[in-house]
Amino acid sequence: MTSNSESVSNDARLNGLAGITLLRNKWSLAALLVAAIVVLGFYRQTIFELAAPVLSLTIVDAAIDRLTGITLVASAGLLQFLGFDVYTIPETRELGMEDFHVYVWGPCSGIEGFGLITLFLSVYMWMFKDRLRFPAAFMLVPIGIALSWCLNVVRISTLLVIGARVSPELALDTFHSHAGWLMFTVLAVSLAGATSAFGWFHKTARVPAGSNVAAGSNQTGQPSFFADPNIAAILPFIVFMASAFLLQTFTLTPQLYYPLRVVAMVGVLWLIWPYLRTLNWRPSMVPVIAGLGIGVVWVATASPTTEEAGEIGTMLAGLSVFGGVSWILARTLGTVLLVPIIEEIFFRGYLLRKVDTGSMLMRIVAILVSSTAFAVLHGRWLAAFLAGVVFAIILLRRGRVSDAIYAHASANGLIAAYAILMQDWSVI
Amino acid sequence: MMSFVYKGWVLFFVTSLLPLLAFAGKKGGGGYCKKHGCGGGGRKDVPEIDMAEGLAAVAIVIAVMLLLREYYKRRAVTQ
Repeated sequence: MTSNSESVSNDARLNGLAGITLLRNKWSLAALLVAAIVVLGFYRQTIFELAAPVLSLTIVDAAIDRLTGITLVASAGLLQFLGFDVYTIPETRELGMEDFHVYVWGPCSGIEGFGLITLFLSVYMWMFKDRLRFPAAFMLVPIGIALSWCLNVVRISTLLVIGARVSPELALDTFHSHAGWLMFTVLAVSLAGATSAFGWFHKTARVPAGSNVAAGSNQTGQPSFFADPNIAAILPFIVFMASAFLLQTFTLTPQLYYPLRVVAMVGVLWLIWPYLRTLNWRPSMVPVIAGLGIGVVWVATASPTTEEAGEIGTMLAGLSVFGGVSWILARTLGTVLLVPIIEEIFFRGYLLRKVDTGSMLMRIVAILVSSTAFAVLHGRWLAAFLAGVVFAIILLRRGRVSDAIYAHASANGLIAAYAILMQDWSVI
Repeated sequence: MMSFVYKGWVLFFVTSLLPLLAFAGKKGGGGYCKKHGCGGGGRKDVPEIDMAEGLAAVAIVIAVMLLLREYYKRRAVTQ
């Protein structure tokens, strides 16, 4: 039999163990899970080779082959239903319209979408396990897989329409490689939203134990929706990422349309202005100097001009003087002012602070997690990771997210100045 | 009882998910479109599925989930 004091003592000992503390923090677990998903994604071919001897591949191959055939027929059927004149050659899995055709093979069957949506729903159900009603919520998995397949049929049909009626280049060089991710994003977000609309999947809302929003606040003291620090940190990041995503999917030259992203960023920052007003914006020299140092390192370690930079140069040469100057102004505004605000309030202001529970260990973990997340969304992982670490330390120095914004803006300002003066857009 | 059902489902997911990933690994990615020529008369220079874009997609989905989580917390407080 264990007394209360002994029990507390035991708990304290357990909490003192670094590994246990790490695993008890759900944010760390979430970060580990995301890292595992990324690793699985990159090494899936190797995983298959390792798993091959123990799997009955003949049956699976036949199943995927059958699924591919059904996907081909369904895509053709959808287009015919919509009034398009299409043809299919089942032997070669060819689907065509006018002068444009595609081959619907194994990867087009939607099998990857099944894996992705199952992974997503597993993470989603774990994150919202207190809110979802089990076992009813498990029905989301077959529903998600079925919808994933339907959206894959829509993707193939849209690819054919774009290729035949709009532009074969847009269809094959852009839409083909991006639309799958777009469909996954739309489906995942829709499923998450839909579960809150249907009472069958979730419990009645209640105050979660230990909610840090509830702590120290009451109904009258709660900030408005857009002034809420958590909402204000996440919403602009979604708009920022989604705007890039849509342009890359539906345009051949997404860089040309960067001013549209600027409009979207300005719009969402205007929405969260009530939150931004509450920040302490008093500047300090340390963040600016640190930011300039990062900018110098970033430029000095940049690789020679890339293909994308050449494309931007060609694009700018094709614009009028007014158009070129306007584009450069918009690009500079976005890079130097808007992006630092959006990225810092999300990665450092939200993510870092959520993981950082106060202990030295968790503070280090918080810096690593926020910097890693920041790095994987930038082309140059190592340089971006180090920049993320510096921005995190700058924030922790005085506890001000505005310091991290100043550092990030200084770095980007120097990089933008270099890009404009040297006409080398590869560094941005 | 609930815990047993919950653990059972978790076990089911883990055991069914790994083979699914493995099959997806065989069927997708790895230069498939370059080898086979997926579109436009068998063009073999069609860009592969973009992994950077994939990371962006995952980031958006995670951010939306975080937003939902914070929204539910707010709503719970006001109710």
